[in-house]
Amino acid sequence: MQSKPEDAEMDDLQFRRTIYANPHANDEQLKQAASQDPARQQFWNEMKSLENNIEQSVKVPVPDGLAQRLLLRQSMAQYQQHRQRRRWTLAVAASVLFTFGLSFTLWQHRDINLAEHALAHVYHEEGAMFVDEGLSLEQVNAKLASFGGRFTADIGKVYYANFCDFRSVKSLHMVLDTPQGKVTLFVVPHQDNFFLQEEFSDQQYEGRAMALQQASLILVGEQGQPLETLQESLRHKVQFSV
Amino acid sequence: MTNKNKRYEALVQALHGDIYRYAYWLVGNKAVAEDIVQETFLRAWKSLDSLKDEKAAKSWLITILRRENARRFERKQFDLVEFEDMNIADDSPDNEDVLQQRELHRLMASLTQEYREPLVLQVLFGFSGQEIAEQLALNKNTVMTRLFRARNQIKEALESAEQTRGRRNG
Repeated sequence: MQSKPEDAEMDDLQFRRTIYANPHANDEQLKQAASQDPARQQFWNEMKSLENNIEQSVKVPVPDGLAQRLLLRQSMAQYQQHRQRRRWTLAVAASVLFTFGLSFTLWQHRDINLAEHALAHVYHEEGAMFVDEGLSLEQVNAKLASFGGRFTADIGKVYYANFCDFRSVKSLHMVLDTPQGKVTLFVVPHQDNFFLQEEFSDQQYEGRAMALQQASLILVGEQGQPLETLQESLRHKVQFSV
Repeated sequence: MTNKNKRYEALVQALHGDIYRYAYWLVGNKAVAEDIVQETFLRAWKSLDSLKDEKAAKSWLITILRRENARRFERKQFDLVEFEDMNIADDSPDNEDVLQQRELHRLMASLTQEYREPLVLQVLFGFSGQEIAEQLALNKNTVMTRLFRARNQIKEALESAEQTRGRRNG
């Protein structure tokens, strides 16, 4: 090693330490120090070349299909979670159906209670609570027209409106918005053997029903959800032509 | 939900390779590394909502992975892991490059964890000294010293191996 003044020796050590700590350092001081001394430049080049080899060595091969396995594992975990939730829902639905079936056997010789049917229908078509079709009043009225009815004024946001089968009577199943959350509305044309309870409820839902000229309007909301205001407003806004 | 799935898929695609490599250098065994990476990403999925800044994704995943690794030790479900020999495709001729790569892999494996880990973070993820210090909860000067020593050890070992070969050949 050629002899150098003491402070230059220190600089050299400093230079080497900095390069060792980061061969890719992009520092003006380093560049200047290297440009003034070929030995330093050579050392730096060697370290850069070694660094490339270290990089290659650190980048060990990744197992084939690892990304796919990670995605698969996640989607399985998600599915399990979903299925557990679904199992619970299915259990509830099954018990409701069982209760319904039992009452059906007991009641089949009597008239048909629309309240029970409305509740069962809400459970059966829970999916309707999660869709948003964003229907306009015209679209709703177009459907209601098949019962000879129409809404004369805006009834707020309508999430869902589709025909359904109410004891083989074609009815309209709607989901409306209220300040207290979504409410289900059934419009069921009158039949001789249908009868109505004005108020009804079970563990989860409660409902109100009213008979109008040509159809019954049945509202179903969560327990404790006030329905009277909506019922009154609908009573005034719906009109049936003879 | 689908949005979360998309974010997750992007995270996996972008980072699974380097996260696996990091795990490999942390535990020294391919199968254990893959296990830890699986656990890491599953946990990442569960708390993906807490990742607000995509730029922080790397260090977020590294933190989860280090925690997973620590958990492995708590459960005492670990065998003392030795680095396996690197299996660069063995049917390729033993040229100088392959020999050197094998030697380097061995040297990397022989570094102590406290030297190897900062080096791997720097090389794989391009972390600065400050970022490594934050990730490992160390002082920045300590990190710089360890980086210096890690490369210094590798370089000296390579040079002494070269001398030995030189003497044998000479």
